[in-house]
Amino acid sequence: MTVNGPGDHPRSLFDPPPGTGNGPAALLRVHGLRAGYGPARVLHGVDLELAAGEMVAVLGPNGAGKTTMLRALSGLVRGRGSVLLDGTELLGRAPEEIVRLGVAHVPEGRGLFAPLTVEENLRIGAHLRPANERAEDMRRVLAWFPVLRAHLSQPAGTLSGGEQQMLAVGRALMTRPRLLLLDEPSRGLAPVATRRMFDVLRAVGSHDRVAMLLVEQDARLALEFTSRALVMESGRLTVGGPAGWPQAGRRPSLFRPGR
Amino acid sequence: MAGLLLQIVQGLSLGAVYAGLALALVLVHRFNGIVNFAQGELAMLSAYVAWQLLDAGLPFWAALPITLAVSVVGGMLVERSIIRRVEGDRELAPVAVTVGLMVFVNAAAGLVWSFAVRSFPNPFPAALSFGSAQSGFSALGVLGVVAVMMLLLHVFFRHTGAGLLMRAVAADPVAARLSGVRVGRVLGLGWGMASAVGAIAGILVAPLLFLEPNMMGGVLVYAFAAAVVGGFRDPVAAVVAGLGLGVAETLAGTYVAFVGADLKVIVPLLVIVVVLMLRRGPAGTAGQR
Repeated sequence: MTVNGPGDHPRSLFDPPPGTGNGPAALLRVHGLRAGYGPARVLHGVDLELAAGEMVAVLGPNGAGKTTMLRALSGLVRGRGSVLLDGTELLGRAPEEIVRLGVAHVPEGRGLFAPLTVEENLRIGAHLRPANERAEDMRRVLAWFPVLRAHLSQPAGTLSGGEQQMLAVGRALMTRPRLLLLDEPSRGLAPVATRRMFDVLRAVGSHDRVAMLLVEQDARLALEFTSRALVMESGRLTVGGPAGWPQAGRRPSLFRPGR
Repeated sequence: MAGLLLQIVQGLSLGAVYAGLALALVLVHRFNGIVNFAQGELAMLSAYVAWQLLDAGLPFWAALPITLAVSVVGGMLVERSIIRRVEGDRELAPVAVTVGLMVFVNAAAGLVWSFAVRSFPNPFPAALSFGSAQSGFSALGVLGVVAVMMLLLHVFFRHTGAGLLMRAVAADPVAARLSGVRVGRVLGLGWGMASAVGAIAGILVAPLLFLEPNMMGGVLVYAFAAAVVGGFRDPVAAVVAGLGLGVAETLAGTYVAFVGADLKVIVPLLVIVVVLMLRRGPAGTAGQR
């Protein structure tokens, strides 16, 4: 896969990097995914392919269905269509089973166990792993997010927003996922903390070949760190193109000022 | 003075029973979000199981673990077959179901064992009695058993992997599922453990109140009061309140002339009303934790 260095914007947002996308190597194949809440249909047939180790951003306005897509992939909302992870159908499985297949979801609002300590949160993430590898995994995560080390015995709810976000991502990585679903990991983070987080994500992604689907409001940031960007609009994913994807500057609402 | 001390010990042992049942209520509420009105009747059922085993000639300390095992499995079955259907329902359904379960278990016990009052052997030796000191000894036994049970629960929740996963479910069931915890099993186990904890309360109180299907009705009122003090969430507050209620009830019944034996039940009801008045919002939603 190709990785763009910081500040090195991809030449075209819409060309999948070589060796990813439609090849037989795809880790995740989503076809015609529909989902919603009760009678309200949110997703109207999402198609998506993701290669192992590939980092893809999902952009789009609020309410377009980005979060719902992640929730359908991790089993939190019931979906119809087809979601194959390495050939295994995920739809119809419970979230706790989907995690076991290697999909970790860092939800909106982080989903931490607030009254439990930082260390306990991480240990819960590791409970599916073989006992003799948990200590090593813990060392890895604490090396990526050294701030957490100072707060190990502190309740997760007492951490700052940025630290909580790191803990949420760290806990997801403790499950050693093949696919990581991230719902706005930059929300509430200072720019420096955000860049640090994305640096870690990119390093983990390329080192462990973890594929990542990143829902992000900060389009410029997302484009800087991912190899490909998709736009969710009214429950469908569109893969850009000059008409489908506004160029930077033409629709400033998609971009955060001051970066 | 010795009389007062004995009253306090007596009150503490009664309070330990209330604390045990309150702890069961808190356990169920923390995992399932349900106030289990049937907790007392399930404990009564366990006491009958123990009585049946004793009647068959088993020694008490053999009957106890068997009864607890039966209670755990029974509680898990009740959760899986009945409670699972209304879990997560915020409205009245869970209340209606557990109240229905309470009435059903009570009637079923009456059908099987009749409403006749039976004596239940006191597991603690009476041989050491010096007049009134005998009841003091048995009271200490009750206190000791409840203390050991609480210690075991504490060790389980704080120092085992399974306990950690159960605390994770209590803190946030959705996040627990996303971490791969099989939440359904934890909810079942929570009911099973609560049933066992309640069973201990039932077995300990049976020698004092005599065994009959309505035995736990009064105890449940005290346990409710204790659980309300802890907002149905805080096990330590519930236990302390249970012990305090036992002492308050005993002392009030002995030393406050107009309260006497008949008006003792006023004490927990007052506690419920006062605690609910002092807290903003309904029990359980009140601020802390």
